[in-house]
Amino acid sequence: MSPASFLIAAVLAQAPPVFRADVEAVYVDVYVTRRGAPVGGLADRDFVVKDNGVVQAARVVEREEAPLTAVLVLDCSQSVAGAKLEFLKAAAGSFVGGLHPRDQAALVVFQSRVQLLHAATADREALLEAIARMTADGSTSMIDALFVGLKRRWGDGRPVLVLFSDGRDTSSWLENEDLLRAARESSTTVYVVRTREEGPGSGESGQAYLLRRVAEITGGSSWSLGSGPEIEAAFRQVLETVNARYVLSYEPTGVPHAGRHRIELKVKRGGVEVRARREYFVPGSSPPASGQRKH
Amino acid sequence: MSFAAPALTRVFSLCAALGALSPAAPAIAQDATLAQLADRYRQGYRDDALGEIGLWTAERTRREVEGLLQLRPFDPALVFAAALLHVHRALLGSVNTLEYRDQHLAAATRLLLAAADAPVSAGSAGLARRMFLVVGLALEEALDVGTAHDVVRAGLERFEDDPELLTVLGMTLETGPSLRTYDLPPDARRRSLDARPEFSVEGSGSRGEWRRFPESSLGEAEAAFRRALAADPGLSEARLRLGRVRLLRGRLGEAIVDLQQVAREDGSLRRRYLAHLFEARAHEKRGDPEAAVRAYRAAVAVEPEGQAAWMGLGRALDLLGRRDEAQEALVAVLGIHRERGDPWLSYTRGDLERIEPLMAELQAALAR
Repeated sequence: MSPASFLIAAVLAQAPPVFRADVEAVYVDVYVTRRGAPVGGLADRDFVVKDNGVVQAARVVEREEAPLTAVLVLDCSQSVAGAKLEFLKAAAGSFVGGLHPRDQAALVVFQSRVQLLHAATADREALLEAIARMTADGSTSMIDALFVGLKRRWGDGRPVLVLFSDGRDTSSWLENEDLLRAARESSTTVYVVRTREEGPGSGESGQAYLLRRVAEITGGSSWSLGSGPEIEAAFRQVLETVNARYVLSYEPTGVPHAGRHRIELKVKRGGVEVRARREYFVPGSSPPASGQRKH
Repeated sequence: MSFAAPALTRVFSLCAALGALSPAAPAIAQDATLAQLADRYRQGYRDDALGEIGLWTAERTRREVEGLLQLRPFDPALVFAAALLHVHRALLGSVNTLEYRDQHLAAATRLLLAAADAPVSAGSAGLARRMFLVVGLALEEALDVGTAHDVVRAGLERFEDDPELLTVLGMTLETGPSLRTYDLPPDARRRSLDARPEFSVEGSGSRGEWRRFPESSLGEAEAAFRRALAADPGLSEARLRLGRVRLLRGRLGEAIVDLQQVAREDGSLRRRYLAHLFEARAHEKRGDPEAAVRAYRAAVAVEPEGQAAWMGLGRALDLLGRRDEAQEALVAVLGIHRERGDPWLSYTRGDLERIEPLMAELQAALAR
């Protein structure tokens, strides 16, 4: 596949991983592990991909053929001020520094409002300067920020979103359902890095569950940290995970084009765990969203 | 059309301006007491008074408050002036630091309750009512919703069916259950009026505290707003909030009627923006994204830097499959540069627009 096809894809739709040009291809981002460690060396023949139950001819796209567009969505609310912000800056800088040369990144921060500090670019210096400009203040509009991160068209690479947050949403306009729907419709893989909330009760908060679900839906992962110094290590893990993933490509055959597509994916190796998006959606026959029917 | 300044900033800039207009002050006494400072405040030397109490520790504040209340003859006007001074200080404190705000609001509450039933002077019957209102609004602004609720209830025991107090009561009942956690300190505790017969300002940790109102409080909120509107049908803040409460309760048709009335008739840009915003949400809940798009577009016409409205517009257009237009809205979301430009962000903090004229009215009424 040429870089141009990624470009066409991105222009056509951020939402589904379906790229329409002369050919129509679906890209599936897959993470294969055995006992927690990534499994390398897999080839086309090792994967079985079904689209709505129909087996597809999928191939593994080389990493160099599939540069990333990483969107960093970072919590810069009041609670991050101080040492945590410095840890976050170091982590974001380390992440940007670890990207491949053709990868791009964008920087979005959220507090009371959602701000774009830098559009998607491969210019590392510009990104590092934007990271250095981050300041922490205000409330937490996390759901709004994630929604924009998932829905906005960012660049022409394989879309990845890295969220950092240390607290709960306090000021978003959009609601949990809006975010979950956006996650289902997006081709972006979401990685969540969050520091655990302090307070009574040891159970997972509703917010933590929501973020974990978003990561699961998109085939990504989430990390729950105990303290600020762990942020940089978590961002390095995100990068390692992203770089260790396979990208599978196939041209759907034997299935209707528009609508919701269920993806089944198997790896012909024993004892492996496979993490990937389980569905995608092609506009044209928009399904009604839950709770959106007219009374 | 845009707001001249964000609502939150406006309140504080006004407070600062009131201080800046102070006449040249005679020298301030060393270790001036609260009584002396409240008197200076009444004379219009506000900078000095605000500056001095801003330096006080929590313990000093407590001591000064109790000292003032021991003075004989008891002077309710002076006590009210001291309460207003503390409210003023708390509002100024919100601009830069939250650190000292709680002690000033606690002091204002204590002073208000101590003086509320004493006759101030002939012709000043409305003073105590407005004092309850300003302290309630300031507590709501600080998200100390539980204390705001108690203060306003105490006011309503004295001024039954007062529409403005009923509106603030409704606010506390409306925001109590819906308020999201505000990055609270983990040990945050609600300070209850009942639980502190001995006044204390130490370690209150009240920032972001609120009572966990039960969901049924939305019904009580609706009743409070309806009572307020029965007493004063032109009270738009009550109608706006009645519309939102009905939206939260799923009474979408009624909500839309209320909100459209506010959007059509009210002169406040803040309220018109919020009315359009909530109306859009009601249309979304009814499964009518086309109507939601129209309402969101009306909201951004009123406030072009309303991020919530742009966000909702992007979402509604996306639902309709109008993806290019949705992208334009999302680009607009990220193009907003003004912090706190969106009245939605301060909605749970009550009616900030009302605090401004109320402070001025009270300062004039208490002037000496």
